[in-house]
Amino acid sequence: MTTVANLPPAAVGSALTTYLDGSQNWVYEGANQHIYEAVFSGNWGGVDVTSASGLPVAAPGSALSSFVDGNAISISFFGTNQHLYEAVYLEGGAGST
Amino acid sequence: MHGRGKWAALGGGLLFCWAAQAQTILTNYQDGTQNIVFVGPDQHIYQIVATGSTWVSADVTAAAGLPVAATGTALSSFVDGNAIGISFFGSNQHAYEAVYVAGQGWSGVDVTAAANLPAAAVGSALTTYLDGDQNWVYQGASQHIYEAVFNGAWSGFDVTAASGLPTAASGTAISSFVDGNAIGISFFGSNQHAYEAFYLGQGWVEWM
Repeated sequence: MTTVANLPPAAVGSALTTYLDGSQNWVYEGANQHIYEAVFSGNWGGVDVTSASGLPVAAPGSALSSFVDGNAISISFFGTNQHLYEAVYLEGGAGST
Repeated sequence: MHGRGKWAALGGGLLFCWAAQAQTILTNYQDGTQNIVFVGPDQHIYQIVATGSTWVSADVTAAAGLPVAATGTALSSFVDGNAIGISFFGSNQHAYEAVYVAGQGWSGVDVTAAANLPAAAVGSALTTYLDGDQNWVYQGASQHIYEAVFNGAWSGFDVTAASGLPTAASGTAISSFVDGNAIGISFFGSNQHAYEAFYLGQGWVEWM
């Protein structure tokens, strides 16, 4: 799905997390340490989560975790300062915490 | 909760003081209680359980009569009705499952042998999922993705061969989901692209 979502390849050793929110979603870390998300909801799409959320880049080889909480989607990772960051998506836009 | 720290009092006063491994692998699940599972320095699998205000611990490896875990093993867990499954790789790179059934206690099974599958690659990921059956997914030394299935009887599948997808990158992450009647198993290929093998009840297919 990396190709059909028009996303860059994953970094070697990237984590991979998937979740369902009506769409099917795959999340991984690219070689530039950005977090990318491929989405399939009948059509394919791709998102640079790091850019969209304004969060810092992830630590190389960061763990990744995701959950869906009502209408909110959460993607969590470690930054290069080893702080835990969460990118949050709410219907209508992206936010970060 | 990782590194070389040791457990101190938690909640109403736990008293489990194993220092975990330097790179502690954790999994957790909820079955009405909160459960945390990790590998101890003796390569045993340990579980700590929050029961109200009290924490209790168990040596899962000893209780299930299973061999010790491989260094750096992946861990996965699920709750299936009144059964709890905790899975890991042994030093022979077989996937093992410790099973707890209320009223029956712990037992163990060699998943790889039962499903007649090849051993996992050293450092393989391990993911489990439930779709009515119990399913274990890991990477073999051939870099193929294998799946063991238990639905009263055991069977095993070479997902890579069945789906026609390329071999996985060595040490790839693996993820799975169940979406209605569809099952997806995802991994990275040697080109670091993410691939998904998709199952719709009529066999595995390549998904884009």
